[in-house]
Amino acid sequence: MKKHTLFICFFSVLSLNALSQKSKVQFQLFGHIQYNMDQINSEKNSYFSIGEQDLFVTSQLHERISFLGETVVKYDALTSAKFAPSIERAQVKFDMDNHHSIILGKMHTPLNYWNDVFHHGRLFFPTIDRPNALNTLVPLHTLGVRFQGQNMGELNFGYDVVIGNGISSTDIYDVNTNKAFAAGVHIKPFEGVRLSTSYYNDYLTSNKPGVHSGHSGIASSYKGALNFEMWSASVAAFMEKWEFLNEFGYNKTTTDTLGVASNLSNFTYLGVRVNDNWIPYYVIDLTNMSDYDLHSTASDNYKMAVGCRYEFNERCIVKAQVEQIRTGMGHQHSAHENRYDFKFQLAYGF
Amino acid sequence: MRIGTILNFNWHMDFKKVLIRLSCVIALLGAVQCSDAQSLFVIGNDIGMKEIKMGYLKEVYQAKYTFWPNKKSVQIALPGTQSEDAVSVYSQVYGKSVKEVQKFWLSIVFQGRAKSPNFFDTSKEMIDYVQRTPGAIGLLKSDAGVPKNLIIKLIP
Repeated sequence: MKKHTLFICFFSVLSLNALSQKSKVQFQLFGHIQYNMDQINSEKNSYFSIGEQDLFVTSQLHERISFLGETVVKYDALTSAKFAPSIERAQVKFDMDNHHSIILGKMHTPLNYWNDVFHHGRLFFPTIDRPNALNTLVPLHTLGVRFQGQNMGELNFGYDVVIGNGISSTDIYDVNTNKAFAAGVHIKPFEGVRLSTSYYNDYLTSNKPGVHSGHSGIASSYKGALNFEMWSASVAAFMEKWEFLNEFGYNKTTTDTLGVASNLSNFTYLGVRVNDNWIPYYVIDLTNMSDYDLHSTASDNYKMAVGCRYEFNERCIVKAQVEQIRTGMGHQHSAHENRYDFKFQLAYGF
Repeated sequence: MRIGTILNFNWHMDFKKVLIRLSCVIALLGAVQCSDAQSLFVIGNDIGMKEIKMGYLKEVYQAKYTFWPNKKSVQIALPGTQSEDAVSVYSQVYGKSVKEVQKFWLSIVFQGRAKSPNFFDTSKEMIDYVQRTPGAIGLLKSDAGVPKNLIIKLIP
């Protein structure tokens, strides 16, 4: 009886508390479904796939404090269901004034336009896939603190300075005391146009990919210390008729074993809006990982694609893309692979 | 003959005619502009101003500000996609279609660079929201049913 009374009291307090709360919570779901038909050398495949299902939540906690969360359920070969949830962003933002804010939590690094703007939303991607550099070079996430400024002056100047867990870390632990550092600046001189540049540095006491790298798929047998630096420059112009994006990246890894390795990437996208719904586009995507690179593995990748995007409205789009990918792996990139793909993607958000 | 015609051109009279016609066109364009401005009404609650310039209003609606000069948090209200006001209001403030404006907000909120605005499918819903939310600003095509204390004068 006493227990029941306690329970009733507890839930009464809980429900009163819930009633007194006025925070506005918004949930949105983004996702995509895809069909692929590919030919790798002489082997052919055809398959449908469920893409990342992205639960996006925002809430205003206080006049100056807001929360943003992005949890993605995606393919994971290590689980029995082959799908697993992953926290991609969980950040609390404090607005200091009109232009400056401090963000604490797990976030995307301000490297490259793509990583800073499109995140995991295929609905926002102008093409079917992200640039290959985001799979091989760019550290995508970090968990830490970010100082952000935006929309300053006539040129809409903005900056991002991030100090957080590095490439080898997980969401609850980092293996060393030094933190990764990232800084980016941008201007938006005209509506739809953004010019940006950024820098990233992390000293890995042991070369192993954690959850923040985004390039964990590339295995390297090297487990020693490594200094990882990356510079990037982006030109984005999403105008009324023309859409253009160029992402350039230069990555330098330094080890005591092989010295300096220089890796390069460049992604170019050009689209033209022929009417309110149709946007044909063209993509060239190049990456080159040096033979001296010990963080990942030596490779080069060339991709050329033509495609078309059809926007039903702002919440549902379809894309079709034909592409050719030439890859060279291993020492002097001698193991070649020639691949042709046809991809069809339905992306949605509501 | 042609050279003669040119030489005989009555510069004074013809220039006068051109000027008159040009003035008519400018006046007509001005009238169209005025009628556009008159079909946009701004409502606000405790935003620290009773009148607002069109340029500043556009910047507010492009998510360039988080706070009003009186330090109240900016709460943006917009006509929803089903609202009769949407096409007119969006084209005057953004110069864009309903789809483009929705896409702009969806993207900027997803980036984490702005708070989500509030969309309303009827004028009444928007007026009620602005009335009960300090720092809120809304846009309407007509001022019918708007309490006088909410009206913000729009300066072109």
